[in-house]
Amino acid sequence: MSALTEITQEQYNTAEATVIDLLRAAYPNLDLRRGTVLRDLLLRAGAQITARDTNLMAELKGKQSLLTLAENEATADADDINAVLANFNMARLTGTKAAGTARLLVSADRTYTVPEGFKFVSVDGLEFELVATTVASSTPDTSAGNVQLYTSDDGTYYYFFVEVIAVEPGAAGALVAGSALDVSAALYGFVSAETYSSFTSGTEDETITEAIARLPAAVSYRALESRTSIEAKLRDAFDGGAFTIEDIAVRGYGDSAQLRDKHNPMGFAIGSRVDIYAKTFTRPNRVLIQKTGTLIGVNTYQIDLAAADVPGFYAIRSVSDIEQTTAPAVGFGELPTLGSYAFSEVRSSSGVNDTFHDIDKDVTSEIAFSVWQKSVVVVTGVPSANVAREFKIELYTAPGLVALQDYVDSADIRNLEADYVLRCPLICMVEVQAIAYHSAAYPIDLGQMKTNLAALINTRPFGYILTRSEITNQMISDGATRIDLSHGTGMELKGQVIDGNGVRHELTGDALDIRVVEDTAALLVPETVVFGVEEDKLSIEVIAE
Amino acid sequence: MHDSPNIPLEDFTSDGSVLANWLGSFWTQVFTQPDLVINLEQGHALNLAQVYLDFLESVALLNRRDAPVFHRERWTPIVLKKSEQNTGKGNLLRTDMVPAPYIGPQPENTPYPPGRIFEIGGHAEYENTTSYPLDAAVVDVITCVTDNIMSPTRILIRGIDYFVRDSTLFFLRDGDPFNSGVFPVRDIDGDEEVLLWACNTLVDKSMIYEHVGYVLSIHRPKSTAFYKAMLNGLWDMYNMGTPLRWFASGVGAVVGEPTVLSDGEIVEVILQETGVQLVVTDKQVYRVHKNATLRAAVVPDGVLNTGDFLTESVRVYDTLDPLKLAACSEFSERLKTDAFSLFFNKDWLRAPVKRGVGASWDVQDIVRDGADADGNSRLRFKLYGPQEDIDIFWADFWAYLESHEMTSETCFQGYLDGIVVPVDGAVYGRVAPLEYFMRYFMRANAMIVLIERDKLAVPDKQYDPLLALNHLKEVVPAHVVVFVIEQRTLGPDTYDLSGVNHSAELMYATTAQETISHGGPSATTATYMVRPPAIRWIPTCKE
Repeated sequence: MSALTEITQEQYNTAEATVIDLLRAAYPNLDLRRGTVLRDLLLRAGAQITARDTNLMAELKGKQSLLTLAENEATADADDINAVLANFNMARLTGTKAAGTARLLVSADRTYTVPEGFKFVSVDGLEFELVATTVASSTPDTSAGNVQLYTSDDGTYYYFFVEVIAVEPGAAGALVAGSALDVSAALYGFVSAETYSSFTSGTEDETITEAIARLPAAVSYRALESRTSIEAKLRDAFDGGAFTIEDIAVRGYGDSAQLRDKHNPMGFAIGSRVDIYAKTFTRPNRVLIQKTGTLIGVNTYQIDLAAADVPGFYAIRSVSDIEQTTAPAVGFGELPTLGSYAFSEVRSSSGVNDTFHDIDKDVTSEIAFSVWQKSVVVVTGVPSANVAREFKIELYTAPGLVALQDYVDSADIRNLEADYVLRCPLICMVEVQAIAYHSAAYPIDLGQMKTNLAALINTRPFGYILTRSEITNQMISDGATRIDLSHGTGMELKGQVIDGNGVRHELTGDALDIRVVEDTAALLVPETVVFGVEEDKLSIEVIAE
Repeated sequence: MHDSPNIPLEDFTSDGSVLANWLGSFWTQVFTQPDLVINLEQGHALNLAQVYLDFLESVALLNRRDAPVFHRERWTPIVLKKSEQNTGKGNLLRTDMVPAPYIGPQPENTPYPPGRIFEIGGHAEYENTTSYPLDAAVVDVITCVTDNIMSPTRILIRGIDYFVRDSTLFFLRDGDPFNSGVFPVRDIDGDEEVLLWACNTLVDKSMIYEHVGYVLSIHRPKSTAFYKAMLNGLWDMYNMGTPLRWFASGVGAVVGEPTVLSDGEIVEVILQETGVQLVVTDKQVYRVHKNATLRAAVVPDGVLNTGDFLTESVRVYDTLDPLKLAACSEFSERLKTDAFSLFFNKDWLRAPVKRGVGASWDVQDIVRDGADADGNSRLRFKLYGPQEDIDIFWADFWAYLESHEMTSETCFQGYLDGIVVPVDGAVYGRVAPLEYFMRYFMRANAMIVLIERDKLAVPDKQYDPLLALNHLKEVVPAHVVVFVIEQRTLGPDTYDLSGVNHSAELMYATTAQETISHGGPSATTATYMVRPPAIRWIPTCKE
């Protein structure tokens, strides 16, 4: 609330100007300079009230708009923000917690019971807790939900997996695979613990700018009809639930990458088919599954990924042994992921002909990234001759695709003759290599810089380009005084995106521009692609000078 | 001074009226200059009035339809500096000045002082006006400008003595305050200043964007009534969806053409005024372009409904069934000229074309172009666009037919002659390609909006077609496509190139858009995307 002490001299002067002018109209030679009795006793008191009221009016107007609140976001009152959002039937989204699988190494083959809420602590002091009470033994009662206690390959220790979640919301909880964890209370037989896969990212509280981006959908009617109303309808149904819709892209009549409305002799678009790409993640979302592979050749196994295993997945990140912790620290440009066996895959469809959807099941790109997609993965170089073998597979996918597809297909929701297909967005995985210089007097918080850079890239909506300028600007706001941009030794950007036919495209240069590799027939267009990065792919060196 | 009465303190505390009585005596008997008090209180009152106006403004901002376009200052002090004479933004040399000024000395018989030298990047001067820059946010002073609020010696009237354009205050004729002898001129740091008071100053504080536009992420650099109407029209579409009437209202809002605001409005009179037509109904007065053709229903006693356009400047064809044109639109057969040809880019076609193909209403022969492996005739008709793409399109068509064991003839039933000789080049029938595409592929989900830009009600500069289309796309159903065709008159630009050493280069469009014109690639000199349009103002040099 504006107080008299907050009024500036300029505001006083403005408020006094009108009165002074009127007095001088009657008494041109009246001494109204500061310090005079007339000025200080007669003018100032009224001017103070006017200036304060004017301030209050400005403050009132400022609080009526999210845009003006965003100008002072750091000091904006959360209640004021939610008061405006309430007019749009919205509330500011609170942050979410990072989560993932941890591997506990123990010393003996016995039954372990770890209670729900049991806490683990990362090296940085972040706390994680067990999602549910876990009972592990070498002969688990799986019907009771107990888990397997594994023996290491060399027989020297035992391990089992637990699901943990960060105690506090925030992106900082997105630990990479292999990060050490400690226990906060005694656990019998405990040897060590580590993250088994990179944790899904938590999110910070929604910024005002992010809330503003949701406003068009908020004021829209809810229906599976226009691009905005589709987003509004889906957000209404799913936001605040198991996943949050960060952004959607709709490809309808006359749009690029809409392949399904041309099933006629002339191949001429007829409309009525709509593809919805749902970005239901911030950081590229990894899913970890275990699958049994079948030996099909020397050191070669085949794994069948059914449509239901990881519905609509975008890409396989790694295929490794169960015990293997996939190393995250791959160098810039080193692929495939270290610790993964070499693999290839062929995708096809499963069950689409049992639906009403107009999809040519024989056209890979029409089925790609949908919930009817299945895959046959061939893994080579496996040092084993067992007929069957367990593998750990990490995949990138969008959470909630099945729920979304079921929703738009349900008789309660679907419009007559409507044909909506949900797809996982294509993710252009970004790598950044850079050297940031800074003043010795002002060291850079490298961890924070990486977090901010990751947020910059991962929170972008569907779009066609990511430039070095954007990266540079963020690094400078995080304390860098200059960035080496020289080609060869300076900042480099690299991006990889897989299209609907399974073809991998690489992008490099001053900007990662999806238009360079655009292929409409393979669903690869700017409107279907989001950029994504994992912090371990941000290779940044800081040098004091 | 009178002798001061001696009144005991207890008299004041025991009876409140004692103090009031003696205060009254002070102002009536002791203080002999009441003007000071009167003016002081009037000054405070004016300040309070401004606070009240601000309060009303805040209240109005709560309603997107009532949101004021500009902030209004009841009284604004304006300080003019002699050194800034004719240096306002409104004086900047621009290409759209009428008549165009010369770079160099000005000739006789123009609004500009003869012999005065103008330079690129500089300011123009006018013979009959003197101007001074205002604060960049000031849009207009809608009542008057004076030297003193309560006791003015000179009042300048808007439109007679001054006008405001581009945040510049233009004084007409001999109205320059520095020369009038009426306004007190002060010497400040070697410059001369005049203090004026502007009554009802309109200030652009971006209120429309900050309170309405940001919600839809639509920003315009300047606040205008059109911007506000456009936002509200689009917002209505966000709220209500796209029933035809709301769609029409929305299109009208984004292109700046009025639509009827309520059901059952009865036209009372149509007035032709200078530069504008007024359609007066029993509830509203609508301003439309002076050259716009009124719709047939817009006649005295005609009944109009919500979302109806008043003119034919915007024509909506919401169903593209060529067999039922009269039933689908009041403009009926005009579709054939309004949308004489359409270009379908690669996103419309399964065939892997690079750009696309175009089709028109011109009737074309269906001719035989070889046969497939089963001996079935391959038929095609003339399309336009890159020949490579046309060939790819037909090859894809024939391949599909062959793989599905179909014949070309099955796709052209109703268009073929009864008896044909199956030889290459033989004419099997006739078809209007665009009619064919509309009839079999587009009619259910495609619509066309034609806009006569020269006849829109909104000033040309405020209408941004690309912005309009981008936002329309967000609110029309995703399974529907809207073709927007804009007709505009491009006047011939005449340049006197004699004595100019610049070379003139003829440039050709390099994308599919160039083939939009019927009959094949046009020799247009516009460029699109690959090279941004280059607009070059070539001044005429005068000795």
